[in-house]
Amino acid sequence: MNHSSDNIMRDIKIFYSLTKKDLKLELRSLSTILITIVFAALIVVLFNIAFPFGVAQKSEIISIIIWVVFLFSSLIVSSGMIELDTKDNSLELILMYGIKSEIYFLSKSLSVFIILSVVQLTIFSLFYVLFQLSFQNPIIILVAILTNIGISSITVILGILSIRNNLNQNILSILVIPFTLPYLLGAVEVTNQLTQSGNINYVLNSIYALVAFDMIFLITGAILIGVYFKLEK
Amino acid sequence: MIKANNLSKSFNGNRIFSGIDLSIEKSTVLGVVGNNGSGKTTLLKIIAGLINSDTGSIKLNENIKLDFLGHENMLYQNFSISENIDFFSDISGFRISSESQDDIELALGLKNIVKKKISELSYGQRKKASMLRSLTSAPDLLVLDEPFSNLDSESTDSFITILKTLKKENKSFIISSNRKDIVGSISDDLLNMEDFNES
Repeated sequence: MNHSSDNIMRDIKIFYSLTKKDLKLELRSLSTILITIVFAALIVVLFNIAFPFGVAQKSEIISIIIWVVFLFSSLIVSSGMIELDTKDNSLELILMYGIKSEIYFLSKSLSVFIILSVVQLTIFSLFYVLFQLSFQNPIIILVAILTNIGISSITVILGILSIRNNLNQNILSILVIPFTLPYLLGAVEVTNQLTQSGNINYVLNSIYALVAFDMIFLITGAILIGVYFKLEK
Repeated sequence: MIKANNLSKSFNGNRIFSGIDLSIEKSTVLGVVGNNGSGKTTLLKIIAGLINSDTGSIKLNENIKLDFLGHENMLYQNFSISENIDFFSDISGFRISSESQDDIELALGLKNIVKKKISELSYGQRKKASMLRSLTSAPDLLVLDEPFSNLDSESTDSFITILKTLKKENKSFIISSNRKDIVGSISDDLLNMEDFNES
């Protein structure tokens, strides 16, 4: 009993150390976060010019643009966060110390989630200013968090899987689309409904689906990364 | 301490080496020598558990702590030397006493720069920083891949002195190098990779 609680405490400590390291390194350089925010802002401004006010089905289009911008921003963030460990091969040391692959995956997903939340906040603020999009319903925050969890975990899975692939990060942007399309359609639908009617009853099923997808991505990721690291040896 | 039998490895159908047996006891140094491409790094990575061999097995005694120092410095460039040591100690769960760490920092000439970022250090200083990192995890067996490459003679001497001191404290080492003269002078046994390469 004591032995297993010691192991859990050690896993928690390692999880905390790995996440703290990622965030500390990112806050020190700000390289990933700045590039992503500039990229996202540029796309939002371009769309603002392309879709003048009064365009038919503006709300639907904006809901799609929000999540497409967010998806591609997440690719930059996850690539940057994974590169922290692969650039000078410190990942080999982390694995040599017998760190559980699921702990590594979950901590990396949390680091990406936190950085992406800052980016997400910037994207939503830009949409509020440039498109006068109203986020009256606080449920939109829940949707943003749920979508962020899913996108963070799927991009970390694909990012780790492409570490030693010859095509490396280029393949990430191609692989991510079929995996996230059904997920993003749900997020678009919920955002559209909430910004139009604000009635939660219309979107409950989509929210349940987002929760289910998050669980699937997190559990599958933890298992898949473990298998991948073993095969890579 | 560690025993390996019949190790072999191929990459893309090319056999790098085969039939390697080795055994390391407490307080010994095994030198692994051979030309570039003879498989020294691959063998050391197999011993460190970073990659699997195609055949054979490795038996490591229980409670033996092993650490690895590779070609790359394996340190975070935006962290200082001490931040890197703190992070890797946290995740490995092992760390030598601060007095012992002070002694090694002094011997390696890093005492006044431990707060400097890795990116601000010269190549030689980075190499010494990664040596310091590997020594602070209190390993019983330290696997060192080309530790003397691109080191000046003064740093090489100080590193050899540290290894000899640690050897007296029951530590063991596997050291690869193409500098047979240096490795030969500190090793109890030498393994020449060319004897196990397929011609």
